[in-house]
Amino acid sequence: MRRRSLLRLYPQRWRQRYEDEIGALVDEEPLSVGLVVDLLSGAFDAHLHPELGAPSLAGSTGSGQIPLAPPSPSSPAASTLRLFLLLIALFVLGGLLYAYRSQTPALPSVSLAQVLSEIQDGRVRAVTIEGSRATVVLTDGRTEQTTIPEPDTVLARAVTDRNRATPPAQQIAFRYTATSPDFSVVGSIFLSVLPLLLLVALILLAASAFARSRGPQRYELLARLGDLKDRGVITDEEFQREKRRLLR
Amino acid sequence: MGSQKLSSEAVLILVSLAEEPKHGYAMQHDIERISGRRLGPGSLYGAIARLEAANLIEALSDKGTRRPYRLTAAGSRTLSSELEAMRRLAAAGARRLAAR
Repeated sequence: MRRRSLLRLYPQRWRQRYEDEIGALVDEEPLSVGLVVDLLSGAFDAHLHPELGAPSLAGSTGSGQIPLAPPSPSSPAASTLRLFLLLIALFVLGGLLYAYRSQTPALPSVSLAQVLSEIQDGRVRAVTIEGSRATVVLTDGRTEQTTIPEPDTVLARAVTDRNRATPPAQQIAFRYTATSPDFSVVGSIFLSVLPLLLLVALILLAASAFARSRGPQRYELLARLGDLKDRGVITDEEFQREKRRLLR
Repeated sequence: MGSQKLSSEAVLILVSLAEEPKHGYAMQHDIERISGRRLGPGSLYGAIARLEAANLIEALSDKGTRRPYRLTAAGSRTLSSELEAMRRLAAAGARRLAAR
C-alpha cells in the first residue's frame, strides 16, 4: 500500500472528503513515474486551491450544498504553502550569498617578484595598492593579488620606471586606495551573521503561521455549525457527525 | 459559476456523467473508452473536486470508496453550452480546411 502514502501529501480537508475514493483508484494503478507525477501535481493543485474538498452536508438528499467554509484568500493551507515556498526562496538566496562570499577572495595570489617581472615585460595594465595588498590587472584581462611591504618602495618605483619608458597609451594605471577597515569589518560581521538572522526569522515566521493555522480555525467552524443547527438548516445528527470529524 | 472555463478533464467527466451516474473508477474507464485518454487518479479527482465545488456535479450517496456522482441541472446546462461552442469551433475549422 506504499502508493497510498502519496495521498498524505494532499491537504487534510481534501483527504477527508476524497481519500477513500481516490485511494481505491490508486490501488488499481501500477506504480509508475506517471502515477507519482499525477498525484504530486494533484496534491500541489489541492494545496493551491484550499476551497476544494469542502465538506458537503447535503448528504443523500442532493438538495444542494451548504458552503460551510467559504474560500478565504488566507486559509491555513495556502499560507503554509506560501510560507514553504518563501522558505525555499530564502534558503536559495542564503546559499547564493554564501557562495558569493566564499568566491570573492578567490583572486590568485602571486609573489611580488612575479609582479615585478610582469611589469618589466609590459604585461600589466593597472595596479591598485591598498595598504599592504596590491591588485594587478594584466593586459590579457586576468587579475591577481600580491603582498607588498608597507610602506611600499619596490612596486611603485617599478611602475614609475616602466611608465617613464613607454608612450602614454601603454602606461600602467597606478593608484592608491585608502583602506577602509571600518566598512570591511562591519560588513563582514554583518554578512557572516546574516544566514543566522535569516534562520531565526524563518523559525519565528513558521511558528507564528503554525500557531495561526492551529488556533481558532476549527472552533470557528464548529460555532458556525452550531449556528446552522440552531436555525434548523442541519439536523442534530449531522451536527454531531461534523463535530466528531472536526475535533478528531 | 457556469461562465468559468472548463478544463478538458472536466468536459470529459461531464460527458461521461451525461450517460448515467458513475463512480470514479467507472468514469476513468468510460473516459478512456470514449476519448482514448486515460486520466490518472490525481487529475481525475482534481477535476471532480472542482466540478463538485462549482456545483456542476454532486455525490449521490455516502458509499465510501465507490461514491457515485451525477450531473446537476447546472452541470447539464454548462455541458450543453460547452458542446455547442465545440461544435461551432469544429465547423469553423472544417470550413477553413475545405477552403484551402
